[in-house]
Amino acid sequence: MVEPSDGELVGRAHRGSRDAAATLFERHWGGAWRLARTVSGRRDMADDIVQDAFERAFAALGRFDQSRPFAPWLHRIVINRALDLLRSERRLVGLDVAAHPSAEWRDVSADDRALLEAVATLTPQRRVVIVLRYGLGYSPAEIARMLELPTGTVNSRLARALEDLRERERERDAERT
Amino acid sequence: MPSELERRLEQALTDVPVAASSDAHDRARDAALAAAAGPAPGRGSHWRVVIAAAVAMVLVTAGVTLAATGERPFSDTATLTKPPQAARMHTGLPPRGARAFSILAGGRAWVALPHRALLRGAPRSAIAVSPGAVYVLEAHGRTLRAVAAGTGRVAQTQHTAGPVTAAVWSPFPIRIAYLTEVGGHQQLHDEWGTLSHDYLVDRHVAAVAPSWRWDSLAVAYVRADGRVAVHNATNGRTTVIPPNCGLHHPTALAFAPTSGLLAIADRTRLRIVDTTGGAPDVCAAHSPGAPSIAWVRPHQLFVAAGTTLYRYLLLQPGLGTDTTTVPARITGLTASPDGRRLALALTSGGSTRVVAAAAPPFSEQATPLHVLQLLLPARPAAGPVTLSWQ
Repeated sequence: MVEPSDGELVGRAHRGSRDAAATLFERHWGGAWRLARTVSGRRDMADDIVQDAFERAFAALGRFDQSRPFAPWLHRIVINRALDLLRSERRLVGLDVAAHPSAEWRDVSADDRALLEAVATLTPQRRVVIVLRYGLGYSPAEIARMLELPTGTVNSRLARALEDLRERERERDAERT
Repeated sequence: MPSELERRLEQALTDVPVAASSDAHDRARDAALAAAAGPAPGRGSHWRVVIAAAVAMVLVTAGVTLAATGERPFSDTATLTKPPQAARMHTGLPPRGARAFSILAGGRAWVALPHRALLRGAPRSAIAVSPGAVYVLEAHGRTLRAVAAGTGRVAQTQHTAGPVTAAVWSPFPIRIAYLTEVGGHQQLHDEWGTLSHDYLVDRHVAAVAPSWRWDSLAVAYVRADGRVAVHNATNGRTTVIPPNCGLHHPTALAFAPTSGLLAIADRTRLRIVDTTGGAPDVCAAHSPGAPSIAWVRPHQLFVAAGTTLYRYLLLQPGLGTDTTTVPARITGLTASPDGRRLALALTSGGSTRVVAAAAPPFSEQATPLHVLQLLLPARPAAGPVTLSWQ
C-alpha cells in the first residue's frame, strides 16, 4: 500500500480529516522536536516550541502550497518559534541559557555530548544553519530559501559556525593538556 | 568533501534522541488536531467579523468596560482568533472546545457541557468536574453527589460529616479530596471516586482547595497552622514542607501538570518547591491580593493577584516573568487543558463576570489580554470564584 504524500495529507486535513491530520502530525513530530531541541538546546523548551509550531502550522494549512514540500515549511515555523522564545528569555532574565548546556545532553554519548554542548554555545543564527545543514541535511540553497536569506549569507554563517566549533575544540584540547 | 568535524556533526545531530514525554507529545497532537479542525478561511473571515461585532455588543451590554491600563493594557476590543458557535454566545458557556466548564461564585454553581447546561446558578457549596468530564461532583450542605455528565443521572451520593467547602478530582479520576467543616474546623478527606473508602487525612486544615499531584498518588494541602503538607495516598504518610520564601498562611497551591513541582502562594509571595526532586526553591513577589494559580505547561504557570496576571517561566536557573494588568480584580483563574487559553473571574464594584481569554504570551511588545468569550455576565458576587475547565 502506497503511503499518501504530505501534500495529500495536508489537503485531506484541511478538508476536515482528523485521521489525515494525525498521520501528518506523527510523520513530522519527531523531526520537529529534534530540531527544536537542538536549536534551543533545551528539552523542556522543545516541548513548548513544537506544540506552538504544530498549532500554528495546522491552523494555517489552508495557506500552505501543496505543490511544495511540507517539512521545510514546518521547520521554518519551528525555527521562528525557537528564536522568538530564546529572545524572550534573554529579555526576561538577561540569561544566556546556552551557558548552562551540560545537563541537557545527558542522554547522548560522551563523544556527541561535547560537540552538542559546543553547538549550544553558538549564536542562535549560526546554530540554526548548523542544525539544518548537518542535522536535517538541507543544502545551503534550501536553507537560504527557508530562511529567506541569500545563499552567500548561509554559506558565510556555516563557515563561521564551523570555525567557532573548531576554536571550541582547540580550547577544550588545550584545557586537557 | 566533508571534513572530520562535519562528519561528526552529522552523526551527533542525527543521533539526538527524541526524548519528549508522551504527555508532551499528546498535548501537542491534541492542540494540532484542534487547530486543524478550524473553519475554512473564507467562511472564517466572514464569521470573524460578524462574531467580533456580536461579542463587542455582548461585552458592552454586560457592562464590561475595557480600558487600557498599565504596561500590558487590557484590550479595548474583543479579539477573536476563531469564531465560536453562535449558540454558545447566548448561553455564555462553555468555552470553545471545552468538554465541560464550571463556575462556583457566591455559593452558586454553573456547569456547562458542549450542548447543554447541567447547572445554571444552582446553590452549591463545591463543584468539581472530573478529568474527561465524565462525572460532576457537586456538594450541597452535607450531601456530596457524583452526577454522570452525559445523562445527568446521580451515580453516587454520600453524606459527609459537615458541609463540604471544596472538592477536587485527581488527574486520573479515581480519587477525590474534599474539605468539610466540622466543629468550626476544616477537615481534609481522601476517598475513591466512587465516593467510598473515605479516609480522614487531617482534622485541622486551612480553607484552601487541595491539589493532586500529576500521578494522583499524593495530594498537597495547607494545614491550619499555615504549613503546607503532602499526603501520600498510597502509604498514608504525610510530609510537611519546611517553610521558605517568607510565605505566611498560603491561600492557593497547585501541582505542576507533569512533575512534583508545587506552586504555593500567599497574598504577596509565590514559592515553587520541588516535592519529589532536589531542585532549589524558586521565590517571587506579586501584587497584594488573594492569588489564583494555573499551570499551562510543565514549566510555565500563571498567577493572578489583585489586578495583575503574572506569567512565570521556570528556567535553569531562575525565573522569567511577564505581567498583564487588567482593570478589575482577578478573583478566579483556570487554564484550558492545552494551556492556550485562560478563564478569568473579574470583579469590580461588587459584581463579577467570567471571561475566556487567550493566554498572554511572553512578548517583546506589550500584548493586550484578548478576550475571546464572555462566559458569565456580570452578577453580584464579591468573593473568590472557583473555575474548572475540562
